[in-house]
Amino acid sequence: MTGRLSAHGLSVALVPGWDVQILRRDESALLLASPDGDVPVGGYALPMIHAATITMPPLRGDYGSHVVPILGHDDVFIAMVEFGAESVGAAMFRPGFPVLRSRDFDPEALQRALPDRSGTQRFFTVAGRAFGLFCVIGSHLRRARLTSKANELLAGIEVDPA
Amino acid sequence: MTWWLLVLSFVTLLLSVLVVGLLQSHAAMVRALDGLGADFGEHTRPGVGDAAVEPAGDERAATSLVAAEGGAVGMAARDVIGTDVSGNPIAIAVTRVERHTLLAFLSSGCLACHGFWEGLADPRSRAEAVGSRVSVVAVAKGVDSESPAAIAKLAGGNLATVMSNEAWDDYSVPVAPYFVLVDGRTDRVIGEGSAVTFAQLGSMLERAAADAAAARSRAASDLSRRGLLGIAGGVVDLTADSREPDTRAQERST
Repeated sequence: MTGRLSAHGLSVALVPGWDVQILRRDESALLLASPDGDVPVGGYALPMIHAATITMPPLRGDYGSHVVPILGHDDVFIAMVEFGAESVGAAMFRPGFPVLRSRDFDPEALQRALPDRSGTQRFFTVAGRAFGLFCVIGSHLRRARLTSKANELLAGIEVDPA
Repeated sequence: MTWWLLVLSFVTLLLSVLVVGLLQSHAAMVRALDGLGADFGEHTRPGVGDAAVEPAGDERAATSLVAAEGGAVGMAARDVIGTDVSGNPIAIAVTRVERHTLLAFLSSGCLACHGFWEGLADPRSRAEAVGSRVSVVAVAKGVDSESPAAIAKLAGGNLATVMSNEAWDDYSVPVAPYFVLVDGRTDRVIGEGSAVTFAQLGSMLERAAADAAAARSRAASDLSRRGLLGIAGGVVDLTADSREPDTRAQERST
């Protein structure tokens, strides 16, 4: 797969083997996305990027609910979610696009612990915009290889200035 | 008696007119289908099963004839890029992945498609039809041809759906419903065709897998005979799930 996806001031280079979506919740989706209450969404109509090495179900949470449980051991899920302008400059958000390290991954970083899986979360600002990056890998034991896989996708993300 | 003979003659005449009309109508349909390239004999190309011929107009009611020649089986597959039902850009990888992907080319206006939308949108019936190892992606035409709201309603929240005219062109889709099976390990189309009912989907996939395995086996056998390879090709099992048991258990519980 070659080329890029671009929308909402975000752009992602397509990497073979990855499903990618740039989305922004409709206002209605913020209310209706989870009729049974099991798909948490942020409550903000801000852009986000979802990418995974599996086919993602359309109804999923901002941070991968309904995706993370179906990851195989060689799979990766990435959510890059924009935060409001008030977050830019906040201490929690470090400047610069993060590069993930295998030692960043922790099985306890997941909101709901799942066997073998491991995750990491980073908050950062780039181009005057604030983001949260959440990455889950299907196997903590394979984190070195899967971290490289994640970084390959992340390296192709570009952010337009606010 | 005369009166009775008159009635019988009238009824016979009426039935004759009806039969002639039906024959003319049938002949017209045969001519139209022939013009579309339909084959009324044996299947002429490796497909995934009974195929449908695109009807004229918007009705798109499927028949059980074989699709036109010039199919996609064996061709290099292409990833699907388009938009979701909200207009957000989306790319779905079907190549360079360790799975098979069934691309279901469906439309909202096609009567025969409704059974497939319903069956594929339900995770349980989808898994029963295609197995857990095959990823299913519904591909509708773009917003210039389809209503995103109608597609959203048909697809529900569990069926990966892309709206993409480009994908319909890439795979030369002749009709809806139409199905293309891609082997992500070889990046090739290994089966294609149409079906009339959702129940046919499973057997179509089994046939496609068997055809692909047989083709590989023949190729390996040829190579082996030439002394280039010492082993025969393997067999594809689309219903097998190679992931670890605990992963499958979690998937079922979600």
